[in-house]
Order: sequence, then structure tokens, then C-alpha cells
Amino acid sequence: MALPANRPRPAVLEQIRYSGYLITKNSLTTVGFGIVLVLLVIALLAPVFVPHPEHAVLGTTNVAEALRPPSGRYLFGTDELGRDLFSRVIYGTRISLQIGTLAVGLALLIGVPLGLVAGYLGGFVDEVIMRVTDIFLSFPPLLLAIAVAALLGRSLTNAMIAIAIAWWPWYTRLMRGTVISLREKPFVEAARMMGTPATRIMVRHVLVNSLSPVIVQASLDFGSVILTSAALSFLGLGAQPPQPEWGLILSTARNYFLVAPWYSFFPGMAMVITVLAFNLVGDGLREITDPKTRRL
Amino acid sequence: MKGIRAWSVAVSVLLLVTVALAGCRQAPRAGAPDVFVIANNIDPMWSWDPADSFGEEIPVLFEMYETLLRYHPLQDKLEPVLAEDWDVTPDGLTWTFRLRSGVKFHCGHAFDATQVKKSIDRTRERGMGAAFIWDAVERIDAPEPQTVVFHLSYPIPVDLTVASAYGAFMYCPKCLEEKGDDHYNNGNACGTGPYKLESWRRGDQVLLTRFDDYWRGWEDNHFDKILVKVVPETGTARQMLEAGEVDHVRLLPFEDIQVLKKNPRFNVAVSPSFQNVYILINSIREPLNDARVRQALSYSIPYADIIKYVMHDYATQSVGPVPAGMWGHDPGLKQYTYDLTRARELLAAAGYPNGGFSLVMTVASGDENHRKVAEMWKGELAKLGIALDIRTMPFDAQWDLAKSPDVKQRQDLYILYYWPDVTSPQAFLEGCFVTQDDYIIFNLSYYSNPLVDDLVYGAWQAAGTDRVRATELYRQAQAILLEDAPAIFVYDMQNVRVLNASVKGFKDNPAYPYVLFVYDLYREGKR
Amino acid sequence: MFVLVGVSLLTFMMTVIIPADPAARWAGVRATAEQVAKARQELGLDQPLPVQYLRYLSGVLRGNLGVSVRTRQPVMVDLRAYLPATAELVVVGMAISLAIGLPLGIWSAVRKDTWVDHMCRAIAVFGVSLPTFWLAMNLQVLFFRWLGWFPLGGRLSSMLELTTTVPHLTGFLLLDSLVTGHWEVFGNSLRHLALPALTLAAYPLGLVAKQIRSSLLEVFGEDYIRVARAYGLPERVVTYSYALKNAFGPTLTVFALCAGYSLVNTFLIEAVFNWPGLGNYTAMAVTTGDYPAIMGITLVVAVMYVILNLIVDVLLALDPRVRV
Repeated sequence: MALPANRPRPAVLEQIRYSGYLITKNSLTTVGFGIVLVLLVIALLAPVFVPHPEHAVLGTTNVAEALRPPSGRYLFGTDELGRDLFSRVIYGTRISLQIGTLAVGLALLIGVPLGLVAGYLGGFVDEVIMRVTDIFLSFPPLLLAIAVAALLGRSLTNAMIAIAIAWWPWYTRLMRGTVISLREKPFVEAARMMGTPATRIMVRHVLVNSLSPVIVQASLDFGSVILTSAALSFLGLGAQPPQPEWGLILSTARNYFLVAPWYSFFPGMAMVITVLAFNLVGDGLREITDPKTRRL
Repeated sequence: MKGIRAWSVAVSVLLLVTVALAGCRQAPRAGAPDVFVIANNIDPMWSWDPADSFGEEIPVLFEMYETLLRYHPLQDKLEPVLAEDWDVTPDGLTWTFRLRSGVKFHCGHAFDATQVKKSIDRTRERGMGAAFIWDAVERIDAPEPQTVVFHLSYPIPVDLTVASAYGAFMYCPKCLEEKGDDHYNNGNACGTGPYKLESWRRGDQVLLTRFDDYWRGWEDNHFDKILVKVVPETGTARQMLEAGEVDHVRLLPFEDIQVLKKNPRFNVAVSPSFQNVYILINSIREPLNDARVRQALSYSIPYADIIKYVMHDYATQSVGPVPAGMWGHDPGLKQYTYDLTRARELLAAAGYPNGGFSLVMTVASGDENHRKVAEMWKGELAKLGIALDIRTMPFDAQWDLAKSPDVKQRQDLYILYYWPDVTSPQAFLEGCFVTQDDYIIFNLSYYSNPLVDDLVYGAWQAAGTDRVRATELYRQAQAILLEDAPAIFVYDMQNVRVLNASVKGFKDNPAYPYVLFVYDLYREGKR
Repeated sequence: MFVLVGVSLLTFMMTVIIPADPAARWAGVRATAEQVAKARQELGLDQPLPVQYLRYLSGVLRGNLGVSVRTRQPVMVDLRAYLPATAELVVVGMAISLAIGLPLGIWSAVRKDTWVDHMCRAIAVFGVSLPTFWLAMNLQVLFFRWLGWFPLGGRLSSMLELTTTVPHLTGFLLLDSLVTGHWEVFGNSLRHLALPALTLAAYPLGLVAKQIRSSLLEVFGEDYIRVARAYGLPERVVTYSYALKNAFGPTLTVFALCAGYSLVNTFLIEAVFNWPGLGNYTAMAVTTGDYPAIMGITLVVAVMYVILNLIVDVLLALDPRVRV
């Protein structure tokens, strides 16, 4: 009993330490990790260093200063209602990271248990779950997210739910594959023969050992999820004014791009940097965990 | 590396071709027909049936169809179009119109009294769009080919009704008899107007061409064709205007107009309009059912900032629900100001000294001006301790929500553009403020006051024969509405029309929003 | 087949849970309660759900996707009108992405871990990280506002559209004008196509490059490549004759995924460039809350996506080299 239950732990620790070594070895991945850390700090400390938090949090307007180009006073310029874009873009980091975490988290929460159950139990349950998954997978994710968001009505929460609905089947499928490969492994068999209840085996042995591909995939998806939510906001299906969400800011900026071309630049750059960082991290993690490309 | 070379060659060729083509721009052709090109932000044709139209179609319909009279509200004058003159009995119940002779429909059929009767009767029977403007009509007679008589069940000003921008078009009933009642709605047209339909593509463009047998005749300098292009992006539309590809853009942000105004190549025509903006307050919900709270809201709007920074001075603060320039408007009525101290006092008197409630405001998506108003107001309300929850949604969704059978679902605040069907104070007061229990039209304040109802209906019945009395009754109704504050009367808009400077002869008529009457226009010089 | 039924069931369920009342929408802005009730009956909304689904399904099979609330035309008619413009955009965009992405990925794999590789990978990651609509807006600012090389949007200049009629053969304006010799139209439409196609290419470009690189690297590690190298075959031959063939399979799959993705990506691109295609139509449907249109497009695009994936599966199955 003690042996299989404790088996993965030291290996995981060692893996983390080893992964850390590999991460620092790949410069692009290091950069990605660095940016993500900086973004987290920015998001947490936003209220401390932003000049006009009220422009971002409450959306207080200051129309006399509308559409000012970037200057020492307004680093990124102002929007059509005279709000400091720097403050809004910085606060937007919080929203985007929140969206990423919540939407991916929700998708994992739906997708992982289903994949686990399908893969471990097999048979009829597997059949049903995978058929449903197939149906969801036959929609391009952005399309499904748009359709669901349009149905649920316009709000950021609904946009996140829509994204989760579009994303969970990927985790189910991935999870199921991993679980099936683990199902017949000796330590699982051993646990089974010792009479451990199925749910306990699923959680303590199979789940713990099959999470790493899913986690890698989730970190890769973080970027696309942020992009998708911005796309929804851009189409008017996500954030609501005056939320300083990047997609919504860009969507508004589009109305002024001939008069104020700088308006769209900074929120867009912020988004590119964020998504890029997560993609680099995700790629790096995948290379590390994939034995085929793993370098020593 | 052969493969890579082949690819890079292909890529370079592609890039070269594109860049080379980027260099050549096409020159305008000589001798081509002179086309008046309009860039429209939306598909202008929702409904092709002139009986049903109650919206964005009229700029196209008024080029193809005509009404018996045309109203010039700034001069308060009626111009004869298909009718040459008219009179009314002293009781205001029988109106006789004598028609112009020699007028033909696009299909060749002659226009006469029977067609007038059939057109209006069909419009009334269909009961779509603005058909309600004929509610008072009991019967229409055509005793002679050039004479039409309207018999009313109660007096209304029929001369204004037949000049309505909606629901008063004369169309060819013969075409419908021959080709089926859906003929128009299937995308056909047959009127007496100067231009006839040549072709159209849904969501893309409408092309009209001159009708040779038009009763006013043709001279050299009229435009040959009208092309309405759908260009949803205002940036694209402005580009097309600057490149000389279009003559007129229907809707441009004020920021762009400010820039174009400085350019002599464009004519920015500003004139009064009858379009105004209300914020309708849900008057049956706590705490908005207290008139003092509604007055406080009326005092919390930064009117001056909105007019200066959102509307760029292309609007004036409203005095009451009837816009300035229309009869029945009274500049002496009460006007709310931006006064947060007064608002606080009123809230305190109503039992909300620190606010402490939140309100839901719906805004039609894509409307920049309304969104800006909402966002600016949010900041002011926050100072009063009132939280404003702005929800943008498609107009239809906003509309459904406002009429939701579950009263609790409905919004607290609805920002609405309003403009008249029949050009009269009645359109504003009856449309938005009389009791609408059985079904709601635009009374999205859900306001009900028998006193206002009586005044408004009384005024309309007097309007045909006793304008002075009607004006007085409208004034009283408006005074009550301003005290009771079921809505905030934010601003009266101005019509801002952007045209290429080569287009001459344009005079805006606020009774017909966005209608250009292209027949009256001509070109001098080059686009 | 099962998947297709499932897809239709899912879209149908979505149409049922629509928050707005389609009957009220249908009856119009000033409709009375009776008119709404009549509309409900006409639209069959008073029937039980399974009956509604069967009606929906039989309608779909006969090509009836319902009627758009915005255009008041059958959704199918609208789709048919808008599809060619989108297809043209997707085909050209995907071609550009292949033309740039493939060499980039191969180059990167051959020069693994050199600066070339790092640069190519950076470009690839950048490509998938750009928000499509932001890229589109920036291209507009750069190439229209500052350089003036390309038009801001649309498919053809309006005057040209008015003065020349190109026969409608394929609906691909480029092809139609080329075949019929309308050079002016050809050039003009190419200029209009440039920016949207480039925008569309950015995402698949990155993915294709990334995929071909990693597949090649994987193949390079295989025994037969090592054997080939051991035999002293030139590196060029090894790469192009042996490795590339075997690396194409997974890239094809990614490419098909990308094509599906791009089809949806046009929703944003066409909205920014005012490209008169399916995407613009959908974006308009979304902003106006035109649910029948949204659901119709969802269904059609999903079906196209399924078919696309099926074709790839078949192609891969036909190729004996591909290990499944």
C-alpha cells in the first residue's frame, strides 16, 4: 500500500528540479517564464504604480483630455473619454490573467474527470463520453465559443464559460489517452489486486501520474484562451464597458484608428507579449516532457 | 537547397506582383453616367414593401416613391407633390385632395385616385410599420380620377399624415395585383419617383437609375444613377469619401467630421433635426417610482460635457420631449441642469441620502455616442452612491428585454434615439409617454398618467383645425412630463450631412431623416 | 455520420435555449401579442421539442437553415452568396502561409539550434501569438494610412464594381477576372486581397513552420535516416528525399486544422477589412443578435470542418508510410 501511493512523489520533485534546469537551459523558454513572472507582478501591483486607477477600475471619464497622443503625462495616450490608457492597459493584465486561469481551470474541471472516467472504466461509459467529446470537437473552438457566448448573452463571465465549453473536450481526449496507457501499468494493477476501490485508484494513482501532459497542454492553451476571449470582446460578446479588457479596448479603438492610430497599439502589444510568453512557456514545457525531443 | 530556392522565388514573385499592382491606381473614365454614390453603414433595405417600411429604408424609398405632399417643418409649410391642392371641412372630418394629372408609375400605369385609395387601404390592412398613422381614417373615396376624399372618425391633420416619412408612400397596386402581394417584399419597386430600381444585392448595394417618364422631367444636370453601397466600417467609408469614390457617407463619427470639415473638398452641412435622445426611466420599479429620484437622475447628467465632447457641439440640450424647431416646442419650459447638489437633496428627500442602489442601463451595441454618454454618466452617478451597470446588447435584444413579460427582467434605464413618423409633437408624446397597457410601443418608462393621456389625445384631435389650442395642450402635457420626469431629455441632435463639395443643391429636410432627394442635386466640377 | 447527427443536435439545442423569443423578433418591432402568437404558430415553435428537432433536421437535409432575422432571406441563400469571397480569402491566405511556413520550418530543422533556428522559431511563435484583429488594424495603419499602398477594405473599388461586370464563374474574383481577361479587376482585387490574406496567413504560418520543424527533427532521429546518413548520402538528399516525405503527414493534419481555424478567423478579419464574405456576415449576425444566421453558420462550418478532417484522414490512410 505504502509503496505505490508514495511512488510518484520523489520522482515528481526530481522532475521539477530537472525541469527547472532544462528551462534555464532553453533561452526562449526562460524569457517566457521571465515575462510571465513580470506580468504576474504587474497584475498584483497594478494599484500601487498606476497613475489613474480610477480610470481603470471605475471607468471614470475625463472628456476634456480625450484622445491625447502618448506623452510624459499619459504614457500610452488617452482614450476617447479621456482616460489614461496606461492605467487601463496595466489593469487589463489582471483581467486577462484572470480570464486565462478561470477559463482554462473550468475547462480542466470538466474535461479531466470525464477523461479519467472514460479512460479508466472503458466500455459503455467510455463510448458515451467520447462520442459527446467527438461532437464538441467537430466544431472549431473559436466558432463554438462565439456561438455559445452569443447565446448566453454578453458578459465576461459568459465569455469565460463559452470558452470552457469549447475547450474541455481537448482535455478529455488527452486525459483518456494517458489514462489508458497507465491503466495496465504494474503499479495500478497492484493497487487493484490489493482491493483498493476504483475511485481511489483513479484519483491517487492514475490521475496523479497522468496530469503532466494535460498541464503542459493547459499552459499552451493559456495563450489561445486569452486571444479567444479578446476576440469575443472584440465582437462585442465579452467584456462590457467600462471594463479595461484588452479586446474591448481594441474594439473601441477601431473606431478611432484614423484619428488616433496609437490608441490600439499599446493594448495590442500588451496582449502579444502576454500570449507570446505563455506560448514560449508552453512550448518549452512540451519539449521537456516529450521524450522524443528531450535533450540532455 | 533546390526546394527552398523554388519557394523563395515564388514568394518574391508574389510580393513583386503585389507591390507592382499597388502602384497603379485606376483613373476615372470619361463619358460614363454620373452616379451619385452613397456609403451606408447598414443595409438600407430591411423591408422593400413601402407599406411596411418604418426605418432605414426611406432614403432609398424616397428616391423611388412619392407622397401626396411634402412637409417643410422649419417653414411649417406643405409642398404639393402628387396632390396639387386640398381642403378640409370645418369639423375637420372630411379632407379632399386634388391630384396631379399625367403622373405615371415606373411600370407605365397611370397614377390616379383609385391608386391612392388602393395604396393606403392596403397599407392600413397590412397593419405593419407605420400603418397606425391612418387609424383615424374611416373610409377613403375616389369620386373622380383626380380627387381623393378622406373620411375620418375623429379629426386629425391629414395634410401632415399624407406627408409622413413612413407609411404614406404611393405605390402601384396594379403591379401587386399582377405579380402577387409579395412582389415588393421580394425586392421589387414601382413608384412614381424620379428613380427606379435597377438592381440590388442584399447587404451589399442598391442601384437606382433614372425614370425617363418622371413627371417633373429631366434636365442635363440631374444625376443618372444612385448607388447605395453598404460600408459598415466608418474608417473605410471615410477612406472612400477621401478617395473620391463616394459622394455622401450616411454616418461618420464626429471625430472624423471635425477633420473633414477643414477640407474644402467636402461640404459638411449642419441643420436642425427632429431626432432627440431620451433616457427612459423605468417608472414602476423601486426606487425609480418616486418622482424625486427620477428628478435627481435628471440633475445628474453632465449635459454640457456630453454636448461638447461626445456630440462635438452638433447637438443642443433638450427642453422637454418635443425637439426645438418643431411646432409645439416651448423654449420656456423647465430645463434640468447638471447639479449634483440638487440631485443629492432630492435623493435625501426620497430617503436615499447616500444613494445605495444600483441601476441597469441597456445600450444598443455599436452606438459609440450612447456608450460614451452611459460611461460618463456612470462616473456622476457613482458620486451620488448609485452604481450604474451598463449592458451593451444588439438593438433587438435590448428591445426584447424592455418588453419582457416578466417585469422584473426589464431594464431600469433605456437610452433611445427618437424621431417622428408624422412630423408633429404627437409622434413624440403619444409614442413614448401615453399609457400603453395592452402593448408597449416606445413607452419604455412604463409611464401612465391619465392627465397626460387626455391632453395628448385632445391636442391631436384639435391639431387639424385649431393649431393654437393644440399647441397649448401639448405645452401642458410637456410641463407635467418635465415635473414627473419619466425620462431624461438629454439632447436634440443636429443633422450633419457630409457630401463631396462638387455636389450642389442640398437642403436638409428634418422631416425626412437621411433622405437626400437626389433629383434636386447636381454636380459642379469633379468629385 | 454519427458526428454529423450529433453536430446538428447540438446546434438545434443551442437554437432552443436562445434567450430571445424568435417569434417576437419575427413579428416585428410593433407587433401585438396576437401577432406574436401567430408567428409562433407559423414558425412551429408551439410543437414539442423532438418534433421541432425532426423538422429542423429534415429542413437542414433539404438545405433549409432557417431565415435570417437581419436580412430576412434564407440563411442558405446568404451563405451561398458570401461563401466564395471567404473561400478565396482562405485559399490565398493558406497558400501564403504554406509558401512561407514550409521553407521556414525546414530551414529551422536543418539548422537546428543555430541562430537561424531561433529566429524561425521566434517568427513562428510570434505568428500564433498575434491577435488577428490587432494585426489587421496595424496592417491597415501601416499600409493604408502611412504608406498608402493598399486599400483599407472591401473586395473591389466601388466605381470599378459599378463599371465592369465580371462573369460569375467560380465566385473567386481573382480567377474569374483572370480567365475572362478583366485585368483591371484582377489587379484591383489582388490589391484588396493582400492585407486580409496576409493577416489570415500569420497564424497557420507559425503552426505549419513549427510542425514541419518538429516532425523533421523526429524523423531525423529515426533509424533509417541514421542509416542513410551512415551510407554517406548527401544531407540534401537525406532531408528532401527521405525525411521530408515522412514529415508531411503530421503537417498535413495541422494544416487541415489550420484551415478550419482560418475559416473562423475570417470572422474577425473580414469584419476589420469589410470583406464581403461569410465572416463579415457572421460578425454582423453576432452584433445584431441574428440567431438563425449564427446557428446556420455554426452548423455549416462545423460540417465543413468535419469533412475537412475526414479528407485528411483518408489521405493519411492512403499513404502507407504514415504510421497511425
